[in-house]
Amino acid sequence: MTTLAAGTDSFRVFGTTATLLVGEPGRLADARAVADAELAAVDLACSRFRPDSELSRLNAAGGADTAVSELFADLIEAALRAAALTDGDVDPTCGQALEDIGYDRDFALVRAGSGRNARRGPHACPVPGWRSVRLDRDRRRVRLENRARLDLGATAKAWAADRCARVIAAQTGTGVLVSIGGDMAVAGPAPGDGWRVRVTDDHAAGPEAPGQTVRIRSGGLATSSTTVRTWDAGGRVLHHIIDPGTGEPARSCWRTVSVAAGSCADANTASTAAIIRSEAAPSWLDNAGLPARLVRNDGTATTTAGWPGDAGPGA
Amino acid sequence: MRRDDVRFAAAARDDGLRKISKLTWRAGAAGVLCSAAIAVAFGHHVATPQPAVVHGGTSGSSSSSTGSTGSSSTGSTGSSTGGSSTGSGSTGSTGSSTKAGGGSGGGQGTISVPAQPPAPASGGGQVTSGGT
Repeated sequence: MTTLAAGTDSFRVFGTTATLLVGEPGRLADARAVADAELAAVDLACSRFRPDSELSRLNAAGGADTAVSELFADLIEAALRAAALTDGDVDPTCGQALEDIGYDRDFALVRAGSGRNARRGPHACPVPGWRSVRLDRDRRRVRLENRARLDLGATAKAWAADRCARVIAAQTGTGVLVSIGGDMAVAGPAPGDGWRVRVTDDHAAGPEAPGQTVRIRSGGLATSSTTVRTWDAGGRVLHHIIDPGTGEPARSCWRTVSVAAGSCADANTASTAAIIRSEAAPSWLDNAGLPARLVRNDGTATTTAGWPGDAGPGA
Repeated sequence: MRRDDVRFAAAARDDGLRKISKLTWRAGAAGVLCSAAIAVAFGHHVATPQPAVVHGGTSGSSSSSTGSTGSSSTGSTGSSTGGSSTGSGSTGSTGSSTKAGGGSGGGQGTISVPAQPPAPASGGGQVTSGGT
C-alpha cells in the first residue's frame, strides 16, 4: 500500500507489491513498460517456483555444468557478492533448507497451507555454502557442488530494483524510485526534498503505519523483517530468513532492520545479514558506515551511522 | 676361539645395525606416506574455491580482487577470467570468478555506503519500506 498520487504506480510482481514513483508523471507509462519487461526477465531467470526458470533447471541439473544466460549469471554474481561481503551470512544455497521448512511454492500457497507445511521439518544442518556455486563468468556456465540448491530470494528483488531504476532513468530521463516488496532503488534526479519513505515492519502497511519517515535522494534502502513472511508449521511459526549456519530460520533479537546503502542490493545484503548477526549487527553496521534502523523484538529501535533519530519505541 | 668370538660378535653387531637401519627406513617411509595422506585429506577440505576474480562488467560497479588463492595438493588449476586466476584445490574443479554485481555503488570488497544518509521527514511516506 502506498500513497497513490500522480507519478505513482503499484502492481504485483514476485509474489509481492512493486511501486514506481517518477519525477515526471507523464513518463509513468514508459517507466512501467520498462519495469514490466525487466521484471519479467528476472522472474523467468530466477523464480524458484517456475519449472521453466533457469534457476529451476540449474537446481535440477544434479551438479552438472550448466549454460546460463547473461542475466542469470549477473543474478548469481550478485548473490555470490552478497555472500562474500557478509562472510556467508547471506547465502544463496538455502534452497533446500527453505524447501525443508515448507517454503517450496509461492508464498500465498504456503500461507494458505499453514499447518500442513514443513513436511520434513527444519533442515537443522548448515547449508552447503556459497562456495559450492561454481560460476565461470566468461563461459557463462554454472555448476552446483555438494548437492547445493539455489535460492536467490535474498538478493534478486533488490538487484532487480537497482536494474529497473537504472534503466528507467536512462531511457526516460526522469527521476525514479523503484520499490519491490519494500526494497527500493533510486536513480536520476530526485525531487527537491528527496523521496519520502515510511520505514516500518510490513511493506504492505499504510504510509502512517508505526515506524519512521525518512527522505532519500540516491542509492537504495531495504528492510528485512521476520514478522511478515511467516507461516505456521505444526504449531511453530517459521520465517524465510535462513541462518546458513543452522539451515533454520534465523533466531534474531531484531524483528526488522532497515539499511540505506549505495544501492538497493547492498542495502538488502546488509539488512538481511543484520537479522542473522543479531546482537553483533549494530557494531558491524557502524563499522561499515551504513545508516540503519534496527527494531528489537520488543519494539525498541536503535540506529547506526547517521540514520536520523527515532521518535521512540516502535515509533 | 677368541677370534671366532670376535667375528661372531661383529657379525651380530652388523646384523643388528642392518635391522635397525631397515626399521628406520620403514618408519621414515611410513611417516612420509602418512604426511602425504593427511595433506591430501586436509587439502580436500580447505582448498574450496574462492570466488575471487573480478572483472569489469555491465552493472556499472567498480571492481577489485578480493579473493585468496586456493591451495592445491594435486596441481589442478583454476580458470583465469580477466583478472588473476586462482588455484582451486585438490578436487580439480575450476576456479570461479565474480564481478561486482547489482547496484550502482560499491565494488566487490565492501558494501557501498550511501552518498548521504537518510534525512528526517515528517508525516507519512510516498512509499513504504518494510518486510515482505
